[in-house]
Amino acid sequence: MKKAELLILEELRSNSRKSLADLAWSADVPLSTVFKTVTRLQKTGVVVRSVSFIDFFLAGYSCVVPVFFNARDKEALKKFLLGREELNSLFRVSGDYDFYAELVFDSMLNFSRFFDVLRQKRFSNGLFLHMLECVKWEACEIPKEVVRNGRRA
Amino acid sequence: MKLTEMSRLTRVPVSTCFDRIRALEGDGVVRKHGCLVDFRKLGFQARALAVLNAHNGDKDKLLEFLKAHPNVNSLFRVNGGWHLLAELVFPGVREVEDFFDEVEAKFRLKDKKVFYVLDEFRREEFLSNPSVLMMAGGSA
Repeated sequence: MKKAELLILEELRSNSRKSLADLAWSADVPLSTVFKTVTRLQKTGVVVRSVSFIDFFLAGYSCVVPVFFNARDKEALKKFLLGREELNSLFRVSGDYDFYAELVFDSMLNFSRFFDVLRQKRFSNGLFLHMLECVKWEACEIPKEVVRNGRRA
Repeated sequence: MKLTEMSRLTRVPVSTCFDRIRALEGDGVVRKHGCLVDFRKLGFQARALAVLNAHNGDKDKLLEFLKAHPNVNSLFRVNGGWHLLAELVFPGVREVEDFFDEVEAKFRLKDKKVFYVLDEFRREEFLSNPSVLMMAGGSA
């Protein structure tokens, strides 16, 4: 990946609603290059999708719960979590736990109800945290050096 | 999703959709419009989640260090016996270990746990189901 492509990717990560013309101006490359690059980044799966990052607290969801779960029946837990509308993210992880889930509730009461369901299903074994503040969000830096075939040069 | 599509699903005029998005941005509810990246395709093979607990004197310094660190993708202040939850993206596991050597040399940690992300089933999808929009349209 060339430096200009990485610049375009960085611009997309900071604001995916920028027009192609704005991207071209920011990355200092022709409009046609921006169009080809954006299309390629999407087709190759480097850009998974565009999202709007929501401040759940301001949106009225006062209870954001990151959880590291483990369970005897991993498939059943995965299926259960994927079926819940409160689920924001779900990853398989290594180590002491099987899954990391980020769950969003509008109140502690609804989280408590959810926890009761977990307990009934014997899925309540895990490390439960409560989010207090989002300090940084999808904002790691991608080095500007040349990247080829998934390996940094 | 394009505004025209959103308008069709919600049965709200495009101009109103636009105004509402602008209002949500202005209120800070929408923090930013970004894109999700597959870091592995960029050569970052190690993605890890870490929960950290620092001694009181080092908590703020650790937070500032992680906030400014280029390989920290997301960072949250949490409770539940822990202080911070960080998502890290590195070229390999060795770099992750080097990173924690640096953290432990600079800050007094009470405890830390590191979990490598093996697979991703869902990411940032709360309130993103188009059926919610259709329900909103139906009740409008």
